[in-house]
Amino acid sequence: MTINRTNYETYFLRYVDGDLSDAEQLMVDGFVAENTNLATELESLLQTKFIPDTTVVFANKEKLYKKENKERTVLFFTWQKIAVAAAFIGLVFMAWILMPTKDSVHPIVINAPIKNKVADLIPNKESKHPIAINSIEKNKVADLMPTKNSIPFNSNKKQPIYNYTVQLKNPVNNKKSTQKNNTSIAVLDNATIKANDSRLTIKNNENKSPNKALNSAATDAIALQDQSEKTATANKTLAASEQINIAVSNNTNESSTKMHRTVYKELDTETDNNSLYVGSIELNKDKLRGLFRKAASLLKRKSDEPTNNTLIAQNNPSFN
Amino acid sequence: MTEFEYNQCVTLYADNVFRFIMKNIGHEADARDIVQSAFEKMWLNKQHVITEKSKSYLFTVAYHQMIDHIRKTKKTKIVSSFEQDERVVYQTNNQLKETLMQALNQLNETQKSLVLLKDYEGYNYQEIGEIMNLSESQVKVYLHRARLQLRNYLVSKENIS
Repeated sequence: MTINRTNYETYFLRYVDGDLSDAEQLMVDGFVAENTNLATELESLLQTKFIPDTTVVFANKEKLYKKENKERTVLFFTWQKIAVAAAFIGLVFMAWILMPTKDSVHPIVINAPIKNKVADLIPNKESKHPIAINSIEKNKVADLMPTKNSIPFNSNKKQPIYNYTVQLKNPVNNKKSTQKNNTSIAVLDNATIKANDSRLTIKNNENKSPNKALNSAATDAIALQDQSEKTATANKTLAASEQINIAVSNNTNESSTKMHRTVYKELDTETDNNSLYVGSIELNKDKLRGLFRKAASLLKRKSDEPTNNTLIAQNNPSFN
Repeated sequence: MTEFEYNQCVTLYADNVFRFIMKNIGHEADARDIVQSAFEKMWLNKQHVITEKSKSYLFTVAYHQMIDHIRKTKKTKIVSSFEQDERVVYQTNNQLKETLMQALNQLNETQKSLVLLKDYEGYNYQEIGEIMNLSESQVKVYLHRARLQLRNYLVSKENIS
């Protein structure tokens, strides 16, 4: 396509815009040279071309410059400090919560060993290892554990041990149930001697524990003795049961002593100061003590459940 | 785009963008705000901006922000002369240049931008179309009409004077 008088304006405009190729520019130059009357028109179009005004500049370019914000480490450090502070506060709070006090923690601690000792006294049903009592030393529960040289132990004889231990563990709560359930106690041959031992133990401790609960336990023990004496003559394995009874009496003595301590300290808690100061904050101990009591009752209830199951199993006449 | 490349863009193109916006709207403070916004946007999207097309990106963002600004302020008043400001250095203008600036202000916003992008920055039709969201043929037609309008203004001024 060549330039002519009909399309020259488009070529001129493209010439001003610099959109023409070198050949087209030469063609336009030649056309203008041939048509001088159109040269002024090209000149006027060229005057519409703006020249960049370099005097207009953006002052204070520094405002536009950017720098990568590398404060993440500072932020991390801040979060780290907050985390450490929170962890420290949490540890202090947990230590305050879990810290054993003289009054509220002992009942839980004391109940636990009793439970363990009761469990230790019960031989595993699956294992046929006989229980041997090698020693009658006080406070040695390990002696009650089965050994190779132990005397064969009849499964019937473990029932009175467990029954009696349970009765002494919770003398107040089980008082009525023990009296009502005389048959389960009476049929147990070994209970007689155990009751004797325990009664003696409790009597020895009476001066140290003027407690109603303990008195009731002693009364139970006496009643138990009366009930069990009627059936004591039918005991065929008296020799083995004597050894067991000695061990049980030791255990009972220990349990009753701890039980005495438990009740006595619960009474002491009522006289304590109920206020506890953490910094400037005053807290009421009774509220937390209530939580502890609930937890202890839950634990106690859980520990009683297997005991009750065992009692039911022991009431089975097949064991006799 | 890295931090270094961004700062290079500031050094290389801040004046160009400012000049383009300033000649379009004729208000320095608004022009500065638009330029700052354009660079701020480029900084925020620097990970997605290709360095080779950073100038185009800047002009595109600045142009659209300028259009938004014009629509918001409905500033259709033709500014016949630029206000003097200590932060803007003005060259000694001759008569033709003043007349040409007056002629530029007779154009509409699109024509003004087309002429300035073409003459100031030297973009071709396609690049101008990408910046202004126009087709290449539209750019060509609108630009030629603007040229003819400028020429007519200059010729008429010459005739009057």
